[in-house]
Amino acid sequence: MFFEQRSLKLSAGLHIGLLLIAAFGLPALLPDAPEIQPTVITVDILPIAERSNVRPSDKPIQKAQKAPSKTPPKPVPPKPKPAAPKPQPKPPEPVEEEKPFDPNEGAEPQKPKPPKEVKPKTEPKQETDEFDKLLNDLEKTAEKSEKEAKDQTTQEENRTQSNAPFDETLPLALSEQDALNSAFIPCWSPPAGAKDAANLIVVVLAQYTPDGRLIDAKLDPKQQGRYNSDSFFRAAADSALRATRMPNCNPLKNLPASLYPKLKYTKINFDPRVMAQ
Amino acid sequence: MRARHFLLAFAFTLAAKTGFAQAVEANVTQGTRSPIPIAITTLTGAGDATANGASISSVVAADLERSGLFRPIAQAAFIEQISNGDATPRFPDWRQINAQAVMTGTVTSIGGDRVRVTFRLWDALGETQIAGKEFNTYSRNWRRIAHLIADEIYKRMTGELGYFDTRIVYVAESGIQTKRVKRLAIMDQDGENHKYLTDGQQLVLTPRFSPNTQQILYMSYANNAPRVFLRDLQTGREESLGKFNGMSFAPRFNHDGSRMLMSIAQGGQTSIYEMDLRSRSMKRLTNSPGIDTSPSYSPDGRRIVFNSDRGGSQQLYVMDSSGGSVQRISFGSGNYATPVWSPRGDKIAFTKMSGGAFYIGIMNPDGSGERLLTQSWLVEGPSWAPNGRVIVFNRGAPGGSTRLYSVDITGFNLRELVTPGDASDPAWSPLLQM
Repeated sequence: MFFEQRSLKLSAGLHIGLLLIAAFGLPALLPDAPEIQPTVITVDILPIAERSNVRPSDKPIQKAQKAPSKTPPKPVPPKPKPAAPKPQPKPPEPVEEEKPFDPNEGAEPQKPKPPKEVKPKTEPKQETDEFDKLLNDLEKTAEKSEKEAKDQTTQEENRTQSNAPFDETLPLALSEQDALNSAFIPCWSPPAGAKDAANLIVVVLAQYTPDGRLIDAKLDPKQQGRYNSDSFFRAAADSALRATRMPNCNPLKNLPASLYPKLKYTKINFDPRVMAQ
Repeated sequence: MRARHFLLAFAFTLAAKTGFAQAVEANVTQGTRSPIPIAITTLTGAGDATANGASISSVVAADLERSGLFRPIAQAAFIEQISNGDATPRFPDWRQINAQAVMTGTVTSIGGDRVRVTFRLWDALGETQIAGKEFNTYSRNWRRIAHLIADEIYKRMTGELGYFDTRIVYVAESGIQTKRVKRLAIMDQDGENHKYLTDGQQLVLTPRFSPNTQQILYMSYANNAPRVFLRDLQTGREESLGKFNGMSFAPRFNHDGSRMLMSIAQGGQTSIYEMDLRSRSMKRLTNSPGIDTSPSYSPDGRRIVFNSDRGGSQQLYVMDSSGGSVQRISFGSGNYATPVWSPRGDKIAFTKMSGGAFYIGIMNPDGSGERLLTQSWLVEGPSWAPNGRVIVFNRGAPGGSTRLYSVDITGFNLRELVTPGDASDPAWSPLLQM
């Protein structure tokens, strides 16, 4: 009896020891997992301030297709925009086959270019070195694009998320109002191409919890009559209501903390006039 | 108890009204131009060998995807497998895969080669049914039922009339350039049910649909004499409306088929005439030196757009249906031709030639808002889908081949319409009658 108990204890101990060796020793025999290099994306977290001060992007978030003037467009292919030499984040380029044909791009004077700054003219150098020539070209391109970037903020078609002109002497910032206006951009599909799209302004009355979750969203009662009688308006209204309910916009995220308590009653005006142009 | 509930509801409504009076206001002026993700589930039920759930659903999904306004989600991504097409879906499962709308439905054989097809359209975010319909028909009509379902979904989600239950007639071309064979052909707007209507013995041009869709009008040249033919698509019967010497395009009907416009060359000038199809009386509408041609009615029949070189270059003009109040509406350089008034009434499509290139464009009836939608070595002959949203035209390549393409009025969604061979002169039918 004593001998049997001793054998049992010894067997149990050996089994436990084997398990521990397997648990801690075997993984060490496996090859190391490859280190995954994280993709580095540079972002600017804009502080909230009284006034927005947003650096304009090379392209607006959604470039409205501008109707050409009555002057004839030139049949030239779209010119590529000058690329800035510094690695700054650019908005995503549209997929080539989805890009609407716009013969006016690059040809029509959408952005009236400012007169070129008259700089003290340097003596033209002998470009003996191809590399020096390239560097010079890049410098000129950088100066030109910086200059254009400054002046583009005031152009209607180049508005991004803020209507305020950019002042590079001030730090980047976003106002509470602009932050709220921008919150629904990724979720709303305006009625592009609809008949009389510019008159399809939809007003949604929404209620949110203090942490930004949607309690209820409904059409402004004053627009209910039009909803019942106008199929275009109904589609636009449904699209606006869906925008408030989509997972990307419910709950509302990345808004300034001071804004959330004010969202209990929110009136959202979905206005397609800019994008309908 | 009821009074108490009423008072509570009243109090909440009052509180909400008071709250919204001081509401924070957001102004959203930008969004994304992306197709609406929609889940098209397979209709449940047995159906029969031809009219079954899978085939109907796949045609619906293909129609919506082709419009460029919808993105059908792959069925492999569905979390909920619908087993009862009449039941309410589990909306969180559909929101999980980002579906904004879900289509379910049933197909049931009801005997005698007939089927009953139902569909329901659900708003996955609002968690409510927003459309639904039932169709009873012969099994062989399953494709049309699928197109009708797609039209209903399209209309409910966009507000626009659909255009999937339509056909396109065009001139099918074959052979070498010096001995081209041209035959009249017709197909569904998705390329199915393709048929040739003539044998290629005579040259055929510019087919047009009559407003009732059962007849087409086209030009045919026999012994170099242009004749206008009217062909009944159901019976196949064809009649000649007579010789119209001096005519180079087939006439265009007005919206109710009671009148038609034509341009006839006589005495060194080409003028626009209107024929009353009841009395067969002809009325001359223009009388200017030069060439007035390609007339097209507005949808209400009160105005006519046409192109004319009376000003020295080929430009677009609009006049009353009586021929008065002629106003030029195009002012760009280059030449404008083949104007066609949109069925929606808000746009005029045209071909423009400028700088050695061809364009298809649209403008408002007063000439403002000109936008060029596509450009190529040769594009011409726009024709509107019945909802005034999509334009079909032909595009030629330098080697001589010519194919049909369609484009949305936003300029997006340029697509080739697949035809068996070369194709030109397309005409889009109105919505087919039930």
